[in-house]
Amino acid sequence: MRPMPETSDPLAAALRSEPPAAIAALPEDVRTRLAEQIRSARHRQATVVDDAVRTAVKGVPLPVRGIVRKALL
Amino acid sequence: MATAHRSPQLGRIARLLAVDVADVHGLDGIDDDELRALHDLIGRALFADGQQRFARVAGLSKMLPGRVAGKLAEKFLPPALAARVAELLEPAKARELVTKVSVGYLADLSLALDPTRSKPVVQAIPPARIGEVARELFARREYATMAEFAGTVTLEALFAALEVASARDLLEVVPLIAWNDNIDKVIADIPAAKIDEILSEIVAEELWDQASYLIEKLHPAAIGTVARGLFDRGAYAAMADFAGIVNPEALFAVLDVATARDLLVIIPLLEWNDVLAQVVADVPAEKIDAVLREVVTEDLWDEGNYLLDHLPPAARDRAIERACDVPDDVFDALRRAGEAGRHGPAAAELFAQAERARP
Repeated sequence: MRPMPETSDPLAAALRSEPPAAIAALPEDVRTRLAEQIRSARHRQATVVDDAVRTAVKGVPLPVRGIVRKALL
Repeated sequence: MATAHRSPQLGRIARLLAVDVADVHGLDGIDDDELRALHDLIGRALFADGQQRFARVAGLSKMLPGRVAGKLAEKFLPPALAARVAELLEPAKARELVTKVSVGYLADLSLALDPTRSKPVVQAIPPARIGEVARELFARREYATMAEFAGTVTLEALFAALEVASARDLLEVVPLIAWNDNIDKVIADIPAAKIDEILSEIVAEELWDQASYLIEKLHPAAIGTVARGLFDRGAYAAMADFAGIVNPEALFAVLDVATARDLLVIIPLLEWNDVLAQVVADVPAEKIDAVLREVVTEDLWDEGNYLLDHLPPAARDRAIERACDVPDDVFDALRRAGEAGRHGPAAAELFAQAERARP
């Protein structure tokens, strides 16, 4: 994956990479909407991960809680 | 009204973004490969920040007994995240863990797996377990995901998936698959019993249009098996449907396994087209001889007249040529049928020319 130091294209920024050529050639409104959907999904995903980690650490049996906490936090 | 084709890749992108597929619009007409590349880029972008944590969870699995790790994963790790962790597992550990979680959880996890990144892990999973997950994914009609993994799993796993697929499943998934050598091997080696099962379903549900893509991919030997199965059960109407969708190579495979009687019964049911005319024009001489003999010895003049009346000129010339060489008993029977008024116009012409040319 090519690094994306700086870009003015919202889709490339959301992907952190240049999109495939045919996607890059899409109208701006389509690329912008895709970029917003990716950003929303990333935020949602981060929340899901955090929730899963909290639940896991609280919910796992005591004998393994220590190593689970160490791995996840 | 015709329905516009929607790439299954749009469904995969929508799933990744957790939106309805209708919300991923504006991408119609984009090539599947580009959509697949976009899907993979989105996947990387979504999960890039969590890589270190996913790696630690994967590492944690090494420290826990498989049964405990499996239970914890299924209880606390949502499938989309479990997929990211699974991609980082050691294959041997993955092989152990897949037996410790439910098939439903594995199916959920598969939907979120990246087929390329997960290849070493997926290939370590026992084929029998792949078969169980495939059954679940087929039941959910997750054909796009199945097609993506067709290029990832081992040959043995492909056979395990084939074993649990219905005809409708195969007809849905085969057009979505990026073809490779393993798929060719599976298609070439589909067991006769499976072909029979698929065929029964195609015939019963009249799935011929959907079946054409799969049938095109079948090896001629498999085509012959299909055709023989239809002839054996007297399914001539279905055989006519089948013959209408296959290419010349496949029609020759059908011809190879057809008896003279099969040909005489099926030909009136066929819709004549260029492919059929081409095949009939090149029918082997021994097949023509067998058909002539069948007509005269079994008194199948209705079928024989129909066939002769519909032969393209080149094929009719060959039939005349063969009639010149048939044994005397067959030729005498031909003569008697003419005297009894059984000859149609083409048969009468054939007999007249053959009689003039016979030594």
